[in-house]
Amino acid sequence: MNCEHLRENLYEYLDDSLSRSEKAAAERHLSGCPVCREAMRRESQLARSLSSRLEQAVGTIALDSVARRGMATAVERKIAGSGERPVVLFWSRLAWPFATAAVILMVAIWMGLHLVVGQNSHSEMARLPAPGGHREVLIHLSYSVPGYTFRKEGNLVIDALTCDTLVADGALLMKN
Amino acid sequence: MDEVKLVAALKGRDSAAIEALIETHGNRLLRSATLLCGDETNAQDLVQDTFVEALRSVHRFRGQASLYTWLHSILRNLTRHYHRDRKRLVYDNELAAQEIPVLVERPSALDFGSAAAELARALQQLSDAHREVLVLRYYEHMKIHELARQLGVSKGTVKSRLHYAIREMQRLLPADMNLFGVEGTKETV
Repeated sequence: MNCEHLRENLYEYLDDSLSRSEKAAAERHLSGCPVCREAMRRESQLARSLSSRLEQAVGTIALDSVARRGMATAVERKIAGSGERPVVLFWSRLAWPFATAAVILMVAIWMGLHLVVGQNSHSEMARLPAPGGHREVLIHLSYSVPGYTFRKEGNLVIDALTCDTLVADGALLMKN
Repeated sequence: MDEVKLVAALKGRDSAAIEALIETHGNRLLRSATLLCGDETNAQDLVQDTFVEALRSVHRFRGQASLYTWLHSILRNLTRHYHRDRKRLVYDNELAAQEIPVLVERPSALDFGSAAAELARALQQLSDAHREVLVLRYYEHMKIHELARQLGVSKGTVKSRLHYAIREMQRLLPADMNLFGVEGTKETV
């Protein structure tokens, strides 16, 4: 091991995290190199000096029994509060996808009806009254709207999902 | 209460276990947090949030590291957010070597009258990355490979940060305070 290699591994040597062979090589080099011995002494001194001064700087800082109890209470309160959150978040996360899916479904149903009636029920539609030269197509549409209700019982939030079916009827006038 | 039993009790949100956790690790975390953020009041908030986050995620604790090491990693993440929220600069290794730290006057419970407090004050003038690596190395006594793992950087980067952090500390400290002892100089290691 040369000086450069030792300097690169000085921290690991002091940490005692070199392999056995690397450690032996480092010790052989140190025994014959006063410059590297001085570098090691300086780093050891630095570690002792910084450690003891940092310890002195904050060594008197402590939580007294009142502060500890206060912290424990605050922690428990926050944890208890966070226990409700997942239920609410779970449904609130689902609300938008459900609503979006419902809208897409309604549009798809409407378009499907429109196309099917338009392509396959021509003769049937032709028999419908046609005021002003228009064909009238009757549309019967039903869809479900999800609803979420929450109620609080103690520290728990109870949620309920309901689906209300809505029915819509209407006439669509189509140009001939 | 040993650590395995304590963790099991914490998973059950046991009040006595929460108090035991705070009693066992609260002071050490508070001191480390004070060094990391420079303000005991904010440090106390950070420690409290550390315990909250720890309890929320205790089911993920596998015992691969000690409970304190795990708590300290949570504390460090929260401290980074704290510094970010204060719109402080996030340094990387190269920038840290070039930038001149901004002197910030902050209220602190640290006693600035002593030599140790001079060091603590200089510590607060370092970049976040340099302060973190010094605290972890010389207060938390982490080895180089542990530092690299905890900080998510290479061992070379850890050593480089230490090198620049110590050089900066020496520059910031009064001339009569030599970190390298009576025989040392103000040269870097």
